[in-house]
Amino acid sequence: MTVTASTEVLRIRQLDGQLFQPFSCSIQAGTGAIVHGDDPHTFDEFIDLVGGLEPSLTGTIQLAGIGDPAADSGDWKARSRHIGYAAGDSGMISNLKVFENLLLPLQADGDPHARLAEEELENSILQAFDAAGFDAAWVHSRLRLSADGLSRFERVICGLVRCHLTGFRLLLGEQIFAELDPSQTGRLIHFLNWLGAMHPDSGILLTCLRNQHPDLSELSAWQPIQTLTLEPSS
Amino acid sequence: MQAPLHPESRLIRPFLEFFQLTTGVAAHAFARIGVLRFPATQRVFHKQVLFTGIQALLPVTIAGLAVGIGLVSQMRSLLGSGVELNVKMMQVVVLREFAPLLTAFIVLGRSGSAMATEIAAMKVRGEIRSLYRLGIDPGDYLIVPRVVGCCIAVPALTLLFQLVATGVGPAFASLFVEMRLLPYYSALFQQIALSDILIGLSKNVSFGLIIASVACSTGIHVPAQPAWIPQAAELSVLRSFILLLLADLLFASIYLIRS
Repeated sequence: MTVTASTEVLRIRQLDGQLFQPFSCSIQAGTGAIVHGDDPHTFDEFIDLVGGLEPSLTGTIQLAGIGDPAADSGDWKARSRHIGYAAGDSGMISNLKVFENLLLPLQADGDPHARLAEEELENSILQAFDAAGFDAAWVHSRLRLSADGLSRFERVICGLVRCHLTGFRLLLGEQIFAELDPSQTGRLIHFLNWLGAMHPDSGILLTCLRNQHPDLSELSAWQPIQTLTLEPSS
Repeated sequence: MQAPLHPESRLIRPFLEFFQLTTGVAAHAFARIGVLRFPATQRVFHKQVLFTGIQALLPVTIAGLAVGIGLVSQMRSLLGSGVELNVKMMQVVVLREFAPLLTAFIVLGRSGSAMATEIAAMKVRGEIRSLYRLGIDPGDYLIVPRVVGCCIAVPALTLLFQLVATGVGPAFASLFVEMRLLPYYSALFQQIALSDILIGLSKNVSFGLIIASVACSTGIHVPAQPAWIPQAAELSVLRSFILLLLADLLFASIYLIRS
């Protein structure tokens, strides 16, 4: 498969005889897809496929048009620089403080963002949390606490703030709408719209259980949103 | 259909897998030592040195003091007041054997079990998978700082044990038994050769390497089920204990060949 369009963010082509029934998906910048299924473990495999972590198990997947040839080579590390990952449960490292979690991808390799002044990063963090409806007092009280003490909704928001700090071409949300009440869902969609406005050349890929499919009509930053179903391969 | 494993293979294979994974962990730590320049890895390294090294200062000091006082008192009753024999015993028993082994056992009990538990818990909570998804190699982020931190902390703690056991212990013991300290210290310094220090240092680094590599490989290797978290600690301590004794035998034979 070759790089076809500069605006394309992600193309997935699943081969026969693998973990899922064959399907294809192409996400352009400014659009998105929601992948639903019945088994959360299938999402693990799917997300690893998207991230290039399981190349031998699965079919082919490409991040295209991102101006980085290494990202097309299947190298998961190169690919991960273009993917922002947020999850409802396992996305944060529980023995790190919230602030350390937010900066983790920036500080774990040679990314030039790591050298950004702490004050500058803190301003970006405050701005992002403000967009998510958390005031500065809340942020300051939480940043120095362990990530273990966060609610599921707060963990999702923190994961998304981390994506904002690292930058992304594809926002990958693993069951981020699960177990949220309607008010939290509304706040999350509002925040996703803010993120979409801040990163206009990106696409979004969400996973959710079939019976927890959220109403994404308000998610104006990424439209249209395709719906795909993961059917396990028999 | 795959043929069933021969009974001998079933016994040997886990050992081979464990050996392969542990040597892989140790090799990765040294091959990727450069990642310690990144702030996130540095933070883990500092925490490891703090926990394994600095927070173990008190137990190591107490153990060193107890061994020093106890040994000097026993040696006085067994060997009499001859300085040379007492110093030789101190050199062989404390400096070469007790100090490295007891320090390694203290580190193993505190840090080896903690490392294995922590990594196994991260695996159960899906955090190792999350690290991959964030573009962070868990080998670089989790293993390198722990192994390097342990390889620095163990020799430093052993040196403290040796100083306390051979320096402070006899001074305390002289309060209870008749002992002339100045000839003792003078003879002790003359006995210690540079080769002793170098072999001792490599032995202590090896012990640190064994403890951390076994703990990390065991934590990574156990199944991602909560019931395996305490078992990771247990397995790690048992495996390290055996490997430490075997390594000690190896170094004892080096000393034997040299003499």
